[in-house]
Amino acid sequence: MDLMAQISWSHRAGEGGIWTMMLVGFFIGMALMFVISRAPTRARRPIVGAFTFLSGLFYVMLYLWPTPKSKGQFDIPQGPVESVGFFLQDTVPVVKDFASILTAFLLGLGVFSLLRIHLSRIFKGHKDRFFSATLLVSMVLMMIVGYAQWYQREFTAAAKTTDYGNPDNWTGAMQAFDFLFDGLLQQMDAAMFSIIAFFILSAAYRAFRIRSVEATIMLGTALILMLSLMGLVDYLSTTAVASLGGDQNVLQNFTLKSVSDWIKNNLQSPSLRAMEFGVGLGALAMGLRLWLNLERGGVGG
Amino acid sequence: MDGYTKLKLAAGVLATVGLYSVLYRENKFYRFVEHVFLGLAAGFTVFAVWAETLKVQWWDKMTGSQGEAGSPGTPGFWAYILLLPIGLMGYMVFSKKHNWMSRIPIGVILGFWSGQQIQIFWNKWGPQLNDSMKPIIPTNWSLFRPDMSQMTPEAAAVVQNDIYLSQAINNLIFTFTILAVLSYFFFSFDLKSKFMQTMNKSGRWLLMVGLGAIFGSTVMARFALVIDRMFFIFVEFLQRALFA
Amino acid sequence: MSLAQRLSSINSQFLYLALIVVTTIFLFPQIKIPNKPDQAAIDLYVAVSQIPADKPLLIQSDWTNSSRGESSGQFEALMRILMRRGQKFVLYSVGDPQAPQVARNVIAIINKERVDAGQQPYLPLRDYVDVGFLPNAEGVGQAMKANIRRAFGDKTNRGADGQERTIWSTPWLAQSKSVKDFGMLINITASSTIDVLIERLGGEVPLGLLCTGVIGPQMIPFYNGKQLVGLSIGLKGVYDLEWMMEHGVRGAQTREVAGPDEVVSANHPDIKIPKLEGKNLDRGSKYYLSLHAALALMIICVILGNLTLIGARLKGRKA
Repeated sequence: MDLMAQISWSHRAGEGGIWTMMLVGFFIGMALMFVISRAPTRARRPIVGAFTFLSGLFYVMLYLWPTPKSKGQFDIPQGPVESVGFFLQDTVPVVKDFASILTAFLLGLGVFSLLRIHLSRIFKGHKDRFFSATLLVSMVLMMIVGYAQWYQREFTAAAKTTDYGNPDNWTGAMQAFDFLFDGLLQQMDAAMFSIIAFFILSAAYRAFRIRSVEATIMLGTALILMLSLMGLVDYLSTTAVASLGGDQNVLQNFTLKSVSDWIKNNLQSPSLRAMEFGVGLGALAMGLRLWLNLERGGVGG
Repeated sequence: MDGYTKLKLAAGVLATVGLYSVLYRENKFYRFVEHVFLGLAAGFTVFAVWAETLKVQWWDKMTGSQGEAGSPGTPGFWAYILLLPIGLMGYMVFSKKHNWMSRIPIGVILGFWSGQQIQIFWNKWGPQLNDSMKPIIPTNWSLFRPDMSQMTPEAAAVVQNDIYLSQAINNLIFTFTILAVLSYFFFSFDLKSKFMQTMNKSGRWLLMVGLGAIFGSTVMARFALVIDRMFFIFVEFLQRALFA
Repeated sequence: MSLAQRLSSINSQFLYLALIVVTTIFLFPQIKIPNKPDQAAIDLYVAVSQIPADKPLLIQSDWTNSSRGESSGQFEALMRILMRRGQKFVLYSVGDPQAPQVARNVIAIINKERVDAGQQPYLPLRDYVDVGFLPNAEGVGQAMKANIRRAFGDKTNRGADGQERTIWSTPWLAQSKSVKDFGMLINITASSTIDVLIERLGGEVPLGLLCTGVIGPQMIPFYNGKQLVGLSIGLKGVYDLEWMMEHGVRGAQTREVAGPDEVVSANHPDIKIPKLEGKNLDRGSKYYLSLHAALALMIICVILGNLTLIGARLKGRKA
């Protein structure tokens, strides 16, 4: 513990020392990775389990340990319990950073996988090599243009004096990025997801049939809900009910909107609440099993 | 509208039409546009992960920053470098011998997730359970709540606090629905009790009401996307840019 | 060939074409469709309108163009409301790396609209701050609860003077030390990022939601459970917001009536929110008639589909 206390975890920026410490840290990390890679087969599950358990333990402690309320920046903890409470609360943003950084590193895994598949298709002369090349060219182009415009916006001398919010001041890279991102990627993103609507329409025409009690209930509710989304139909139903005369305080309960609201609040809401509650209980159980490494076939293997 | 904006819109329209061409049948133009889309999305992710995340949350914190004009700046926390080897372990998934190591970073992230479950369960479901406890015995036996728009605020408050018969019936339906659907989920094995069989069947039927509502709402969502595409092609491009 | 057989042999491509045609044709007529906003949308609008001007908001923008038909209209309406009220806000995203750029594009469009109308544009640092993308929604939510300043870190924005400064240097964020110091957290999303917020920040700050129709029904129990102060669902939700901006909202017992289209809120007996000056009706109004047509087509298709089933059954009985 003394050794840990003597290590300085930070260093002044811009000096050679910080780079040395980073290099040392990197080699220590790689050495640890090498040691872990030599672990015998029977130790692998406990190693992965230990990493998982320790990561989860932090948040469990955060929940169970008394945490200080309204802690000020310069408050000093009184006693060991409060010290741990202070430590836990101060560490939350750091742990968040760890998770974000690891997630970001792992995002690269998908890209790496994409590269492997498509490069191998190109070099092996696969019949779809033209499409693979198209994908890689688009990807590289977006990366180059993205980084180029970002560098110009953030780090060049002109960036300090130029309002790049105004398109008139854009450089070539900025315009190219706008074209690729806003002109192509965003439009394709919207188009790709909208295609599902066509398939839903066709599927509903062919398969949404009143073959059973369940299907009939589902279809009936869906029709009422869809009609209630149409302001014009709702207006007509309200007008029709109003024209009936009589006790409007009672009759207004039978307009399309009132009926659909009643379904939403008294049938749909509790049924979905119960369904989600079941899912929530499942997630809690799964969380505990993962954390305690009890899940067969989980991350522990 | 300047030439560049028109060109940008035309490219977007061409890409949209290319993707929609699959509705007629699978074709090469669709596959070309599809691969451009995937490439651009992957390229943007690579760019954004560094520019929006790793640079700010990892690199800058690790290297620190020098202050400008006499400000002290922030020190660099060099130990952040240790996350790099942990992250690199994820890439061992491609190694036949050491692919088990790729579970370590995933285990860390799942550990963070699982550790939070105890706390979040109550945060999320505590208020839901509380709201599900509804009074089912009326305090006023009139069927409907009277019109309050012409009442004084004091009188309206009294009426507001009363449980009318219709409200009590609604609450009973609400409570029954929750119990029936829960019973359907929890007792999914073969049941002997007639009462439980009826509860389960009611639960399944009531669940269909919820799913019907989801269907209706999802249809609205998907149609909105098509409408937006048509607006883009016919109004933003053709009407406002090309034939303005 | 019988009618039932003819109906069941309709090509899918014919249905696709029908959907394209009806959605396109009904984009052009300029008809003001009558509307009764949902109570959940009214509650959201009232809650946003009642936040004190000196309390900044947190805007978690997690949508991308994959839900542009709904989310962009919601985000545009929200930006117009906040900008006209002069409400300061912190903009960030956790859902998708593309989300910050999409939100920035919308802000640029609304700013252009403001400049054209002779108003001041909304500028980074002076009027809002842009934190950008923070991956790992769960960790971010947890960190925001513990210490919002450290959760967002030393993110910098470039001000109108071209100087790069940390977001926390803005005077209007000086008093915001915890998430409780913000007037509301509004999430614009097409995914489950709102669940993460409810789980981690529920009870810490009022939560508002602008979501797509896909996740909307699952969010109603959270609105009913008062974990969300209000919510706007999908394209109907966009039209609801625009309608309230255009016509104003009053409480059920407010005597002063602005007009026949003014929205009456059952949950707020004595409020009075006047209409907002400027462009209110936009994407929601433009798309709503087409939505009618598309939904009508869907209903007709479902009915026709079932008629073929009934027809086939009757024929089977006769045979």
